[in-house]
Amino acid sequence: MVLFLQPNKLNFMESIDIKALNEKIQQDSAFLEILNLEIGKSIVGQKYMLERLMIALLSQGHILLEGVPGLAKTLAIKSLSEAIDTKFSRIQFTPDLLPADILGTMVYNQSKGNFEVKKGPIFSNFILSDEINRAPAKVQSALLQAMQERNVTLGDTTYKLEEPFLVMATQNPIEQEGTYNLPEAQVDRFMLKVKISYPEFEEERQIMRQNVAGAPSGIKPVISAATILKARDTVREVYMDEKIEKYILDIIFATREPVKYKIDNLKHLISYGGSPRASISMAMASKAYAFIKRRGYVIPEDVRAVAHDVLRHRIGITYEAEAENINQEEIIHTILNRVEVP
Amino acid sequence: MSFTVKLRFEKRWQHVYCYLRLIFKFSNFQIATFLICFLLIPFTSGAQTATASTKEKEYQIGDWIPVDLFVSAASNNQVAFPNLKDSISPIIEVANYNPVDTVKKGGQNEYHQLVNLIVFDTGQIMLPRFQFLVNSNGKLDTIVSESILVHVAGVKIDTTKDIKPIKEPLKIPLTFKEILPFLIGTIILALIAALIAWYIIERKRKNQPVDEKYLLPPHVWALKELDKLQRDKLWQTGAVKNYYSRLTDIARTYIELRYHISAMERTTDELMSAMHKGMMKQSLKKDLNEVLVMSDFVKFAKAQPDFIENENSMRIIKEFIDKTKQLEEEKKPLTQKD
Repeated sequence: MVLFLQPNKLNFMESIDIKALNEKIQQDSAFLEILNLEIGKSIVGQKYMLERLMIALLSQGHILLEGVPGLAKTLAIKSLSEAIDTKFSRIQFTPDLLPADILGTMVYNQSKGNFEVKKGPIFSNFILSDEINRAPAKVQSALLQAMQERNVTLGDTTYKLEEPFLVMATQNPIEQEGTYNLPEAQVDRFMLKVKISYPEFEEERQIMRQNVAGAPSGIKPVISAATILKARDTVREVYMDEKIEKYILDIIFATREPVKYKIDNLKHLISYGGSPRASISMAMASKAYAFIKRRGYVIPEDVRAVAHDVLRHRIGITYEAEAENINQEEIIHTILNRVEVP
Repeated sequence: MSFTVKLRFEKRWQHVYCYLRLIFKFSNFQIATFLICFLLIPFTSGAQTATASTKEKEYQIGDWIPVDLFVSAASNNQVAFPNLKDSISPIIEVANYNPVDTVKKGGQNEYHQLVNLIVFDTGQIMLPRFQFLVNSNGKLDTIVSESILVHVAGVKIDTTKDIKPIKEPLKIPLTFKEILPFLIGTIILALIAALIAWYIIERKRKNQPVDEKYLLPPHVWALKELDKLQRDKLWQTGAVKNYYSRLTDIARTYIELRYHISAMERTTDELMSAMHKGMMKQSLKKDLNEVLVMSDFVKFAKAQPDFIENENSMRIIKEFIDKTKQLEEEKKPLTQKD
């Protein structure tokens, strides 16, 4: 007969009190249910995308979405912003867009005889950069710099961007003509790259009915920005054992040196592997995922759950891989199946 | 066409006939005797003739000119044909030549050799005389053919037509005989390389220690490892995390060897999903899952189970191995690759 204690009845070591941390997380993550319920009023399905949005929000990252038009990308971030009671801006990237159109500029006030700051749409909490690859490199660069540094300099003054600050950029995978692909170094600044697909049959039926009825979404603010900021601090406290740290590093290093991990068949398929930013992002995203699952510690399942989204835009594939129709997804899948789980 | 001083036998017999008629016409015995002796000299002393002939008189520059070298000598004589080199003169080259062909005719031997010449000049060209050595009972004699006059024409140029580009050199197809040495060389080299590679691999393989887990049946190896773990008294000395890490590693490796599931690369949930119903009793799977979940708590969440849990975990894993071990009749040989 097996007589096991339940996990919550287990004794935990004193140095890091996992039990207390678990309890704290149970409390601090309670808002997630309310938030999901509220967003669910306007968005049907797309749970994966919403979960990834929350991971990026909780781990101070940004998200790059790839999917065909009409998958509720804009609605998702707009609803999230409304439910958190924060400011939302949408920037439609076009070839004639200028950095000042995003960041803002100094405008001469004739009556006062001085220059005044006119802040751009980046001065919001949630930014939707729609079709980011349609704007030239200088505009992309301006946005990505602001995303990284979380401040913007106009004239002589540097303005800090208000937290929570999340950029969700979208890319359309179908129309590639007249686009400026994001360089690898800039794409690396997105914590996650999420691929979204069409909703399920029943979900789409519900979406259709909801839109035909024309009922307003009626999303109300259910939590404050402060709740998110507090949750962010708690996410940082989520315990990550050194075995998990090693597991993350093994995965990242396997993308760089597959032969060392006895994955010889990937040697000629990978042109470059994940950067140190990938390790940081994977650790943070794993913690946020554990938080969303109401756990005070990270388990290998958390790492595997976020691995694809963290790595898919950080692995370069060779011409040989392209010729063999092998993409990043397959490479990540192989790595996850070959690196030993602690 | 012949350009020679060749004595044809047919003509000779005509001459003999004329002579005889003349002799008997004169009916002077002395003169007749003299003439008959004179006539018979060539036959008794073994006549040797050498000719060189071409079929045509007109050739184009660069064409092969086939020259037929002919020698007629008594069958007891030895004939040496000219030793031909690459070129005969600065403008005449020897393209190739056939071996000497010998035909016996009565007491005479007729020797033929076809020599192909190339002339690199135009106009009236005199092909030189060919020298032959004849060994007649130790007496060396030299006979020569007549020189041959041929007309070598240049390439006709039609000035009314466009200038054409220079022709590419002719491509001579490679023969199997030419390739054969390289082919044999390549095969020999490949065989040597394969032999060296085989020797290195074999040596490496022999030197590599084979892991015990591939030599023993999975359950024997796993139980042996569990006994070792128990003897190490890890949890008793506070190394609980290490104890559970080793315990689950043994369990996972056993599953990998026993069921050929890559258990070490799977998380607990994934492993449980991979172990389908037919593999084992559900109660055993449930117990194993509880140990693995407990181990995850210890490994990743700093959980500290009490001694009962620790002992219980060991007992469950042992029980799992014992109840799922492969029976003798089910066994099939395992390799390191498996």
